Formats: sequence, C-alpha cells, structure tokens
Amino acid sequence: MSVLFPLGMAALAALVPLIVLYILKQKRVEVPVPAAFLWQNALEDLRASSLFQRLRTPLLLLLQALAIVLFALAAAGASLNLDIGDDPRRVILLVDRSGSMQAFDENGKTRFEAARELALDAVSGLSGADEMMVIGFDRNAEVLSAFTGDESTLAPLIEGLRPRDLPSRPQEALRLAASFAKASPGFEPEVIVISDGAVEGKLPVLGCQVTYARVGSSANNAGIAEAKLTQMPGERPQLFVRAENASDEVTIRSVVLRRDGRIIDAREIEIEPRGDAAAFFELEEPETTDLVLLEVVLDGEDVLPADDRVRLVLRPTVPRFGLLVRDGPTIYLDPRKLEALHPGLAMVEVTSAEAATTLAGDQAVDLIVYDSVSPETTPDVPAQLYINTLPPEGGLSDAGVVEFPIVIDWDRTHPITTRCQFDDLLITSAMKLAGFERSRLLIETTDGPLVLLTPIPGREVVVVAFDPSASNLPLKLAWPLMLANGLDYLLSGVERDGETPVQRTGSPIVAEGVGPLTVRTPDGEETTIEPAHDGRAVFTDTVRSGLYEVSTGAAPDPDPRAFAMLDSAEIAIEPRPELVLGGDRVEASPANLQRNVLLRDPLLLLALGLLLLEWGVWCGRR
Amino acid sequence: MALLEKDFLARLERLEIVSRRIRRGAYRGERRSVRRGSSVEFADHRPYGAGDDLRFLDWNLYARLDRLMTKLFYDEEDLAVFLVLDRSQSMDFGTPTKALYAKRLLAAVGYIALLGMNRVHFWSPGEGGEIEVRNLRSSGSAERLFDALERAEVGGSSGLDDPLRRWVNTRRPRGVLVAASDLLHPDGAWEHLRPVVRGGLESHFIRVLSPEEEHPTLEGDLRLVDGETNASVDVSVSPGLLRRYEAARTDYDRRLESFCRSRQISLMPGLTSVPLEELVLEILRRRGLLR
Repeated sequence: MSVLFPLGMAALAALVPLIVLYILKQKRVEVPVPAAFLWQNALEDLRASSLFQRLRTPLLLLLQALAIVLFALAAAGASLNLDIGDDPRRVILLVDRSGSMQAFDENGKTRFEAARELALDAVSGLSGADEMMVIGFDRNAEVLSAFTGDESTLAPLIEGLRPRDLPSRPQEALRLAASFAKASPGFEPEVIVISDGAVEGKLPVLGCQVTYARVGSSANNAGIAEAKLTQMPGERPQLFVRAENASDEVTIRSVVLRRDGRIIDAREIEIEPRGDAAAFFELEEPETTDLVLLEVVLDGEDVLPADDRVRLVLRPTVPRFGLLVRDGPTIYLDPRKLEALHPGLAMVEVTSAEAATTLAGDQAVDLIVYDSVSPETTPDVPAQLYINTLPPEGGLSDAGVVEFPIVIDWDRTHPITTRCQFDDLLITSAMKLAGFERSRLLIETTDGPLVLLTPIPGREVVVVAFDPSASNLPLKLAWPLMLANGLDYLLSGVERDGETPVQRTGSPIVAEGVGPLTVRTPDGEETTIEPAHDGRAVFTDTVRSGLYEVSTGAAPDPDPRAFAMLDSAEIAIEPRPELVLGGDRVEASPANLQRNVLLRDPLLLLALGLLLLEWGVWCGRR
Repeated sequence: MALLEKDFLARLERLEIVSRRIRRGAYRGERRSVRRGSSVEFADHRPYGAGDDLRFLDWNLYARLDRLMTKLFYDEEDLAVFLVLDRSQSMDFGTPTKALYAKRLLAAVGYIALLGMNRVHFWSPGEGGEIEVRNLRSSGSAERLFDALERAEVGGSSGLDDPLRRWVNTRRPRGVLVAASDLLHPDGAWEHLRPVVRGGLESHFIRVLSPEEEHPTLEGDLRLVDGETNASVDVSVSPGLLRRYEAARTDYDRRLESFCRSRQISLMPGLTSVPLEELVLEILRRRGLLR
C-alpha cells in the first residue's frame, strides 16, 4: 500500500483528542444507590453472558480510532498496488489536448478533464521503480516531462495541462513514444494514449504495448469547418461559411454574422448527417479604410462550443502586382487586358532575366505568368500561370508533342473552366504531359491533359500545356473567360502576411525586420519576442481561437489577427473505438489506468460503516 | 405532630395490633392473657381450695352439683410490641426517603399499640449508637415514641444484621416484632433474620422500598456507589443491563420471601409510592398485622 499525499496522514492527530476525551469520559457521574451489589450481580451476569459485552467498552474506542485511521488513509490517498510484475515499467503517457477534447460529454465534464483524471490515475498506478514520461499532443507533440517516478512531479504537471484549439495529429507524439520506448532497456515499456481517437491521418506502428484509454461518448457536434472572406477591389466583400455536422441526425442551425458585436446578417442551414452545408454572405463595402472585425457564430447547442465561433478581420483591399514573363512578343496576352480582367491588378511585362531581378528584390509579387518561358526554379509567388511551359516542380514533364489533340472533356464545375466551351477547340500541337497523376485536370484531350492544376506546396499553379497562338482559343469567348476566371481563382487565394481574415490556429505570426514582436493572446497574456539574428521574430503559440493583437517595433499600434480551429477532423468528435497503428488495431480499453487501486472511496465507506456500528453499539448501551 | 397528621391519628384509633398467639405480658393490659386472672371473661372452673377468694365461688354450680367450684377468669395482660427501625444509609433513598416512610409507618403502628395499652418498645441500631425506648404504655407515651423516631437519623453502614442478633440475645423479646427495613444486604438479608426466628416472638417485617429501586430510571455511563459499603460499580446503563438488574432483584426478593415463609416471618411490602394511609389502613390489615 502506498499513499499519494502523505500530509493527509496528519489526520491521525485526531487520535490524541479522541483518547483524551475517552479518558475524560471515564470519569463517570457518581450516583448513590441503596444496593450496589444488585447492580454488580446484574453486571457480572451480563458480562458472563456475552463475549461482546466484555469487549464493549474498549470496542467503542477501538471503532472510533479505527475510523480515524481509515479517514486519514483516505485523506492521504492510500492505494493498493495490484501490479505483480517483476520488471519496472516505463510508461509513456500521451495526452490528447486537441480541440475536440473540449467537448462536454463526460457527465458534465469535458473530455480533457476526464483525460486528466485518467492521467492522474495512471500516475497513481506507478509503483516501485516504475517511471513515466508525459507527452502532450495536438498538431504537434511536446514532451512535458522526462522519465521520472516522482508522483509529486508528475501530478502537478498533469493538473496544469490545458486543452488547445488545435487539430489532433498524434503521429509525431507516437513516433516520439516509439523512440523513447526503444531507448528503455531493462524496462517494460508501455504507451498509454488518452484521447477520443478523433485524429487525422495514418498512425505509425509503435512496436510495444499500447493502451488506448478512450474518453468521450457523443458525436453530437456541428462546427464551422471553413470561413473564407474574399474581396476584390471595387466589389463587395463576400463571406463563405461552411459548417459540418458530425452527428447521425439532421441538424438545423443558424449561421449568424456579427460586425463589431452587432448582428448584421444570419442564415439558417440544414446540415445532413455527417454532411456539410454552406452559407454565403455579401457584405457592405467598408465605408472607411479601417479594419472591420467580423464574427461568425454557428448558433445552437452541441457538445463542443469551441468550433462554433470564428473571428475574422476584414481589411482594405491592397492592389495586386503581377509579372508577365516572356522573351518574345505574342498577340494573345496583353498586360493591360489582364489588368482589365481583374480590377486591382497591376501587370508588368518583363523578360526572364528581369523577372529574376524583380523576384529577388523587395517588391511583393502576387502573380507571375510564364509565357513560353520556363524558370530555373519555382519562384516564391503564390499564384503562377504557365503557358506553353512547365513549372520546374510539381512532377510534370514534357513527354513529346501531340498533334491535333481532340478535347474530350473539361471540368465544368471548377471556377477556372466554368461557363466555358471547349468542344470546338482546335489545337495544332500541344505538349504531351507526363507525371500529372497528382494534378487536377481541367481540360482533357485524347492524348492527355491540356489545362491542369498542379499541386506545389504554398502555391496555386495552373498549367496550359499548349501555345494558344497555335490554336483557335484566342479567337473564342472561352479565352478571356478562362483568363478572367483563372486570375480570380489564383488571386483570390493570395494573401500577404497579416492580410488573411482568419488563420488556422497553430499558424505562426511572423514579423521580419520590424523589431521586437509583441503579441497579446485572446486570454490576455502578452508576449514580446526579440528578433533572431536574421531579423525575424516568430510567435508560434497561437493555440486559442480568437483575436491576437500584434504590435511590432515599427508598428506599435495593435493589429488584430484572427485565428480559428477550422478543422474537419476536430468537428468529427465521435470517439473512435480503436486506434489503427499501422496494421495493429488497438481497441479502447476500459477507462481504468489504476494499477494502484485508489482506496479512498472504500476507506471512506468503511469508516462510515464503523461509525454507524459504533453508533449502534452506543445506542445498544443506552 | 411532624410524623403523622391528626386526621390520620384519629383514624388509627379504631385499629389494634393483632397477635396470632396470646403472649404473656408483664403488666395488666387490655389483652386476654393465658394466665387466669381477674378479668370479667370466664375461663374455667377448678375445685375450691383453702384461701380462694370466696367471691369467685360458683354458687349456682354448688346448688346443682353440691360441689364447691371456683370460677377462673382470663387475666387481661398487655402485649409487648417491639418496633425496630433500620436506619442504615441505604434507607436514605428515594422521595420520600425510605427512612422517613419507615419512621411514619412505625409511628403509626406504635400509636395503635399504645392505644391498645400494649407495651411498646422501640429499638434502632445505627452509626451513632442504638436508640432504644422501652416500656411505653398508653397513648400518653406516644410523644416519646415519636420523638425517638424523629431522632433516629440515617447514616452509616450498620444494618440490622449483627445488632439485631445481639439485641435479640440480650433482650430476649417476646411479643410482636414490627420491623421496617429495606432488607438489602450483600450477603442476603435472610441470613441475618435467623435470630428473630425463636419462640415467643411474632415477627413482621415491612420491607420499605422506593419505586426507583424496583424500576431504576438511570441512563448513561455511571458509577453507582453503595451508600453503606462505599463499593462502586461502573455501569453503562442499557436495556439489557436493566433487565439483568431486575432479574437480580427479583431473585433476591424470591429468596428473601422463601426464607420468611419457611420461618413464619411475615414479610410485607412497603413501597414508598403507596400512601402510608393505604398501607396502614388497608394493606397491614389485610396482611393480619392490624385489625
């Protein structure tokens, strides 16, 4: 038997007054009687008739003393060690602290509170030479304590854990656990994952004993998975909100839009079971150049309020800057016409050499169009259009020339090709592409893709794999339509640092070359970060949804930045019955991690029973 | 009069002490004696002898039988009534105390005896010495008897046991003994009543007890102290203990009654909760001590 809180044994001090009172109580009230011998006879008769009566006087004291001892043991957190193994254990405790753990479906408690109790149970289950390491995980893993068997170190640490508005990505934590488990010779390693299992992505194999302690019980949740605010110069801002329903029942919710705290619009949406629904708002154009704080609330009740609210910052539109890179003249691409297709866009025609110089300078470039010119490296420009050429990255390669390819299909739903007709498109020759498996095909021919979206991280890249001048496309209405659609599509996702209306939690706040960075979190905590040697100051602790006030040495006035969870995996809060670690399926075990059975409740019950027995004996004596 | 009220005394005047056997007294009294005497109650005849009082010759018998016969009459003698009071510490218990109740009882019996021209003796052993008043006769002596009773203070451990034996051996009383006592003794009071079992003494013991002794109302953890022996008993009073106490008391009573019945000692109850008038006028009459 061991105790968690030795200070609780101080309750044994109550034995002193008990014994003193007992001794004092022995000074009985003297009562004169005419014939004490009759009482003596009666008493002897009674004593002789019952063994219990002989024990009765000290029995009361013993019962009371025993009750005090039991109370003291309960207060000290006495526990019984049920572990009969020989080897000491090394427990690697992975505690999920992601957004879904804030769901209130554990009898009024959050999943995280239940997880914390389980973690404390696991701590109390340590015995002998057992050691434990605690790793908290959300989108990242954080080793909170090295291996230790000191419960007084582990317990406060776990009690200090808080959930975060971050998605759950336990892969890193599991890999860490696997490596620590391997590096534990002489121990019996065990990984305990306390989570609701609402994780995304495949999980690695651990190669040691794994216990999945599941928390949570409900899937009744709907949340905002996407909130996109777009605005073009001269146009009214548009807000697109998509909500998802993780439950098995249709839910009807209201999407309420607030501006500076006032409700300005609302939409009712009906979300199918395990489906989604969108709401679209067109906002009034801001009258001033000041920031506008917007808030989208998914009204209604579910078990996870954390994903029902998104803050956004609407900023004045900033003109976009683009480069048209070509080394020779063409007739189908005119920078001025491109500017006319997308108001707010300023296009400059440059050669490939000039482009390299411009890209190396301080000028922020939002769009780059390569016309029959291939760069050596993919530029760090968010929107890129390659015409009759291929990007250096993305896996595409030129496998030859295709003569008179015939268009067989195009994506009528994509914003770039919507409302365009390509059935009478004539092309004399086009590139025969290879390596487009990961690309999204917008126009397909009998010989392969003609126009496609190529995935390159951090960039939106559209490839037109033919020379428009070798086709009748510039003569057709589809050409300006596709160009206009393409510019809108590419530039709608272009946001410079600090322009994003809302960012996902966990994204860093970066200040470069503007001195120290000061961030005030939604919880009111203020942190100042001095720039590193490269002049960058980075704040990464954006773990709560809400507004962060950012100020720098160059711009001391607080600039609000909005962060929200916006994660489908965290909205789908239904606890998973098992974790799939590679090919291993780990079923959720009963939520009992106590190797040391905490005896508090049985001890309290026993003490109460003893007091009742003592009371019964006392009443029997009266 | 402090012990008895006048009204009660007046009601006592109609009573008299009953003796199951006629006792030979020392003085002439109103009670018929076994000795032939000069009372008006005819007893027998015997042949005339020289010196006989000629007034007692039965002339009618002489005329009928021609023989001189002298008439014999019952001599009227007094009855010796011995009043014995137990004033040990155990009698100082209850409300009213058993001692006071016993004094009033003996005062009433003594008063009745005096009215009947009996010789009344009062004797009470005690810590401060024995109190004894002897040879009281007539109602005029009642005051002395009452004074003696009032003087008899309770105290000490001295019961009736050894003093009673000594007193009986010394005085050799003959007559009616009326004793008021609780008859509580650790060894059994019956062991100490043997001296009164003797010829010529008609013993009546009135057992004075308080209701609290029969049905104790104690509760809690107590130290019971015996007033006579100072012996103490620590008890935690419970229904079970009370039942045991009553069983012990009943057993004691049963043994006492058995002894008295076998020795022809009249044992009468004198519960202090019973009004003295009821005890004297009804119970003692019913039990044959008075009529």
